[in-house]
Amino acid sequence: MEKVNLFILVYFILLCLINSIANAEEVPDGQIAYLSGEDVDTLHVHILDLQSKTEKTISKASHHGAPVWSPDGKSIAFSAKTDKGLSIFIHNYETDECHALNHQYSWNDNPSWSANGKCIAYTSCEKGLVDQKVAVYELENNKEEFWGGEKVSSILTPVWFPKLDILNAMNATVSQVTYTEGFDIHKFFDEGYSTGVLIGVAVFPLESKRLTTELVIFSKSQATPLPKELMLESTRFEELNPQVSPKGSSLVFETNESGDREIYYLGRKGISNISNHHSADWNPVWSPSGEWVAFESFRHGRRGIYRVFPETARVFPFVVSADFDCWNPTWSPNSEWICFVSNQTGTPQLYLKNITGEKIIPLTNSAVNLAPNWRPKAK
Amino acid sequence: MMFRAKKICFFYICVIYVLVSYFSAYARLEDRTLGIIKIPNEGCPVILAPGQTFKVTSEQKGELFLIDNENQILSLTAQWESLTSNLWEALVTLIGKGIKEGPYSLQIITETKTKDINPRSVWVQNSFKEFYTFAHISDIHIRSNDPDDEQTSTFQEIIEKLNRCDAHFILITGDLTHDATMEQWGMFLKILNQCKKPTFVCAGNHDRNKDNYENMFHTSTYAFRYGKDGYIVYDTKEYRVADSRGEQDTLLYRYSRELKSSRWMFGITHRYEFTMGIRAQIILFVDDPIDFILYGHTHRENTKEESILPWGKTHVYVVPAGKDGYYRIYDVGEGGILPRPIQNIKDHN
Repeated sequence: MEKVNLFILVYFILLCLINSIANAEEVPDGQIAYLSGEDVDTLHVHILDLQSKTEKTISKASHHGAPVWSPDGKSIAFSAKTDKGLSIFIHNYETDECHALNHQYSWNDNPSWSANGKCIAYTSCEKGLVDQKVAVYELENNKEEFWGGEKVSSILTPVWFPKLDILNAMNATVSQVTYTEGFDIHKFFDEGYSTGVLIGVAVFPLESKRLTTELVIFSKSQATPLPKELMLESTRFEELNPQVSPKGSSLVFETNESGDREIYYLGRKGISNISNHHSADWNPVWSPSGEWVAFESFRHGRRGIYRVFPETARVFPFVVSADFDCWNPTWSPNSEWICFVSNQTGTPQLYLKNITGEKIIPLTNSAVNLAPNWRPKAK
Repeated sequence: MMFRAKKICFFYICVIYVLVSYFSAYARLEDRTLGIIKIPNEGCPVILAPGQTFKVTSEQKGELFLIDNENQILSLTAQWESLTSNLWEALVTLIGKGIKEGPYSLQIITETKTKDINPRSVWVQNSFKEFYTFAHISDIHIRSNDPDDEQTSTFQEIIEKLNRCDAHFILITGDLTHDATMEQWGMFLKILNQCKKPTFVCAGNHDRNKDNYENMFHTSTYAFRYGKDGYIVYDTKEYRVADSRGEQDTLLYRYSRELKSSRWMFGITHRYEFTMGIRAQIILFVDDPIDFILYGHTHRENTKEESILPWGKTHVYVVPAGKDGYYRIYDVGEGGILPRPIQNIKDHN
């Protein structure tokens, strides 16, 4: 009888142990940079270590913009307020050194690292973000140059192509491709292979004086809208948010071509709508593996996060609720986790969820936390 | 005998105290910030007809009442729901055919018997007409709690003028104060509450001082319907925070969808500049473009070239500064919006 009792006791202890292990919050390792403050006017970049739960704060300057990790994960670029306007700051994660870049213009924002981490592209203008140009800063030489030539102005959020695969594919797809007048495709590729190519959204007036947006690719001296033979008829629709896949073989962007905001995929086989819903779908983010695109959608009422497999346009809900909003997804380096912002407790906080799991793990619990960016693994 | 007189006197003093405190003392907290009831309030009221519903946002659940100018009390039936932000939301249907038109204070008596009251927060109309008018003021810039201050007396004169005009409600598009100090807010509210029409306010760049604006009016982004038309009130903020990092874009999208069926859709804000967040512009002026945007900030009327937003579909109406005595009245009907000439308190008519 005693043996039976002992057996039952051991059985229950084991059961409890297994249960507690199963329920333990298995948090991945890594670091997440994000904005935190008392309100939106006091935001500073913070860096959270997920395993140790320790936090660093970058206190230099004020009114920080969204942090962006360098491809090797050693530095963070962000914009911040200075006496003149906005500057791009570079913070070294290992040494904690932080310095501002030397700019020609006063207002500089939206930093984007080149694939080799040697250059940073950003929008730059003299006053108030009107007629923004794209500046590229060579970090080794402390040299700032304006890219794209004189023909394109008011560029929003430049993004680097890690490789020129998709551009090569586009160029080879059709024999008669229409570029901007005077655009030299050979020179473009020469410049692209030596210093890189960017894509951005240009805002410009049509003949009717109405503004529109268009996707523009640009090198050091030239810029052109994406060839109209490959794109939707862009003068009638407004594109936004181009995101190049990690391997440079395809890109996704938003457009209102279908009457509402949709995510489109442009690859070697052409262009397709991969979100396709009558509610808005926006803010696409590639997984580091290049297999998935996370995006935000209002298809279930509130703002939620979904992921789509671009090849088949199959959409999976990731985190969706009838009671709160979720936005700003950022992928872990292994593409298995997504960190995001949610207002489920009333204020914007960071949360974490495995792409196949159910459990949502809270990461922050202070006033306002926004714009998470997961530190990439050094290659 | 003397003792009895004292007793009676004390009894009446108690009754008067209870009545006075019941009907007035609970309007906002001592520093004039909102108490238990957050929405509706004097800057974000509801206008509705009998049979329509409205929402109340509150720190606590409780019994809700409407109190009219003659202190008649009407009990409301509310369905309470917990919000994620430690707040409660009640869905209230205005029942009662005999309910008279005009302003009502909204009162709550919580489960712990705490009372709070928001004056001028619910306005009842028997019906909404196809044709109506509203007034637009902007850039008041209240600078102190001194009633003789120039900006203060000018605002008071505008309110007196608008009390006598035919507008059904008043929009005040930001820079309500100069530095958003509590003294300035107190003076602004004091004059605002002399207005005999519903007043909808939004935040301007001068109203940004910590979270003082939110403590006064709870939210700087909201929407309302007036008859067949929809109004989205939002805070342009700095371009840096007007992008998609925060929550405003979610609300703008949701409101633009909710009001999509409106006859006309209005955007009410402090300023428009091309440099504001691109996502907000895409939502409001491109994908489901609003028909009209009303704002201030520039302290001058818009030019003919500025009469339509650069996205090509939204008509612009800018009113010069209220601190200089300017205001404007608009007629709204099936044909759209018809602005009357800009008026000044110094005008004779």
